[in-house]
Amino acid sequence: MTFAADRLTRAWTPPNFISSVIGSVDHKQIGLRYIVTALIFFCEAGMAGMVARIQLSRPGIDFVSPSHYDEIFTFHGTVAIFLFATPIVLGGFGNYLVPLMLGTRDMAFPRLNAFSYWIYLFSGILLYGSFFTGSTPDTGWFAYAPLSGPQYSPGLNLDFWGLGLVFLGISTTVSGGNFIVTIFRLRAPGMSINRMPLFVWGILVTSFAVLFALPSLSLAALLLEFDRLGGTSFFDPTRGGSVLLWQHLFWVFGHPEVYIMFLPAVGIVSTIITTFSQTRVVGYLILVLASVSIAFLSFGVWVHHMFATGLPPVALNFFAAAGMVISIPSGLQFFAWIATLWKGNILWRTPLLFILGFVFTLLIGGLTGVMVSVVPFDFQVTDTQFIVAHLHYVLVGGVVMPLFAGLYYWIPKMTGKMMGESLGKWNFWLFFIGVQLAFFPMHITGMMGMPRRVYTYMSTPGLDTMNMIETVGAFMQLVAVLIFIVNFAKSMLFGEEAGNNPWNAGTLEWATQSPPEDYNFRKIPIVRSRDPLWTELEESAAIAEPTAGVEREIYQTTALAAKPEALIRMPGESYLPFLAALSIALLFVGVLLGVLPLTIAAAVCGFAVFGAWFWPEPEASEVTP
Amino acid sequence: MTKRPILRIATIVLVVLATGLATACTGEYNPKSNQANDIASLWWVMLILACAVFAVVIGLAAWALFRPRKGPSTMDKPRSQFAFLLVGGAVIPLLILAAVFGYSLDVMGHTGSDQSGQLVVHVTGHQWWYDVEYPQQSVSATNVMYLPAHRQVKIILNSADVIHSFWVPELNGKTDIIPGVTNHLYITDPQPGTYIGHCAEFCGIGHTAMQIKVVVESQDAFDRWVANQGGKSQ
Repeated sequence: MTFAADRLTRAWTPPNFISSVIGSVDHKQIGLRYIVTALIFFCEAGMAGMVARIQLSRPGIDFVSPSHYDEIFTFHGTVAIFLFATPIVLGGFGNYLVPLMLGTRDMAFPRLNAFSYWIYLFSGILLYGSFFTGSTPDTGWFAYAPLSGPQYSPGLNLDFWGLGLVFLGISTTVSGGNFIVTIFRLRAPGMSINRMPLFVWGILVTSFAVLFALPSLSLAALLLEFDRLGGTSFFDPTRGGSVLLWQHLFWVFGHPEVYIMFLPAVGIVSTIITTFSQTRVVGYLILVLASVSIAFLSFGVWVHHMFATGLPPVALNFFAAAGMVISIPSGLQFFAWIATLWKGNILWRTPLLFILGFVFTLLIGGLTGVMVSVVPFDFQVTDTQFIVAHLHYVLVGGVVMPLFAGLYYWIPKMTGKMMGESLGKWNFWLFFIGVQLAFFPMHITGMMGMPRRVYTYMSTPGLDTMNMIETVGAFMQLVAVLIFIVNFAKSMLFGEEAGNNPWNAGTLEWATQSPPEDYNFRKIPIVRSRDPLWTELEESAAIAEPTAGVEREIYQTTALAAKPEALIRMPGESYLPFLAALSIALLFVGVLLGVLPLTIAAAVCGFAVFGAWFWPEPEASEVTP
Repeated sequence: MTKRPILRIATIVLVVLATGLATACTGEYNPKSNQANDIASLWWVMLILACAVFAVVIGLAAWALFRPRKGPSTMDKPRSQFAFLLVGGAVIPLLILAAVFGYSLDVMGHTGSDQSGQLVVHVTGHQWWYDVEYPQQSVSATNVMYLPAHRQVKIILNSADVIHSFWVPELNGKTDIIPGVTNHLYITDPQPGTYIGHCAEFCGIGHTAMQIKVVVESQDAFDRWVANQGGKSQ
């Protein structure tokens, strides 16, 4: 037994420190890096939100100048959506958990996975670079043309934004492809598609949505850059372009993007509700089909961001109906969760509190979502504080709260230490009440006529109070996040040992050690039910061990039934993903700053690195068992 | 342990709902035209439905969490699970949504259409001001719009530069002012008063200050204003 473990350790552990830092291809390492990086961006976006809230706490003050305010809300939205929410759910939780939940040892393309992280990190740094050039994007996170075009936004500011998003898009796209292959081909033997954990379903559906939605954003951003750097006129109406083209392209991506952030979070919710009810989930098939249909429908509702643009009423009514239909699968999800809680026995711990906070907050966000899908009402409230309220109820309630729940739930697996329960409860209640105080009054200020993206407002009786309450709520959220950091530090220093399965959960990641070994599972499990740890977990001694001693090998199984069909040899540590991402980053910097020698040098390096990466390795081919 | 969360949750639910309802009732949102009245009625119906759905869902969730856990639960049977999901998650939402959608179609049918004798006003959005022109009267104004009460006004919207929006909360929903596109909206039977409209689409650094004052007054007063500006009366 120890002999087998030694061989696994030799095969899967990085040989030295530098290769484990720069060269790591371990999905857990990459997932943790994504989570930490994204949480830093979360704090940055949160600080920007705080500055905006201080500026709006009272009428007529100038805590920041109007031009800084414009940069701050642009930065807040761009960082929160592109650099925090999307990367943390897919790259962070997805990378860390999917191979563990599937009962395998890594992602299908480990080097591509490392490449994806480095691209994400460098594109984040690139977007931040705009600060140091004094030319920060300032046209909002959806950068409507022609305001974002060369005529009204001269300078480099929007180029940082446009090129940064094209660059980041590479990372998200390759992760999407990597997840699809991993989920279809690397499941543990016996984990047929109808036994797959609901979180993995969320990641699978999201990955498909990424592959279909992202090209539209990348195209829009590229066309914008052609306009800005190349003098074309795609979005310039004075030269035959169309400004509505930008809105269509952006929202064809932008609406599915909401669900790209939300569906993995739904997977977290289903997982945690199952564990903390200690019972099998009610309506597994309905929850799966709901996620699939939400992702599908989300591609048919982009016009509901454009109701006030003067499109014909027939088109508006069609998109209104499509938007409302999304509430049916969402309603089914809510009732499946309630039924699961009803059936089970409740474990009152911090992760569940955040999930209940999610249910409460997202319910309000969903109800206002139905309201704004009603065209005449949307005419009234779109582009007001009401929409700011709605989108924060959906994104903070629907994504951030499940993420906190997920952190409290899986940190014991990631670090081996439990998080503190009483600090966790303080964390939850301050955050939950802070969210309600910060965002609920925005519905009312929006109804009172306060538009979004204004840096101040006229002193009006109710309006002043509401804005002050919102700022107080924002500070409560700040305190809650600080408590989380303290709780985490305390848990790392003095936390009690988690053991393998502290919550008595049913999914496979809890069969590994906490934190898991580099090779995840000593023996690859054979799965016979949806909650393998709640039924008997059968281990197969025969198929789990590395055949040739010190090679990395994993099982490839069939897409639906998960029958083993091949043993594939996996690549080890490599510096190529880092170098490839670095060359592409330098290429983008060269284009952005217009430095031709840098651009050419980076392109040549990039070709060389990818050449080395794709050079055939004869010994790394498949071996059939 | 189990008592306190109930109380806290219940308190928060009540406070949030009460604030929302109370503010809606204080009438900060004052519709002053046919279109705005339609939107306001729609809002009231949706608000009441939303509060009802919210109360039912939170009530069910609270029961699911705090129900007495002795003996077998009604949710143990697959048949009752299926019925609960189907009725609560699909059938009832579908009925509510169908009703709301039907109502919204009705409101959409009343957003206005050309009438003889309507006043036509051209508004051009600039960074960061509104140019207001009355082609029938050959007069113009900047950042202010005079309208005769109790008539129909058709406002035609064009942009000189970037996207703006025309929105007077008391008179109608907003319509974007888009370069390369001509949009319009109607205001039918506006009540006398002075209203402030805001640009609602972010249009650059002057966005916050981009406002238009709309003065709705009697036909006589409007005619006097036109005459003072040297325009021709209809």
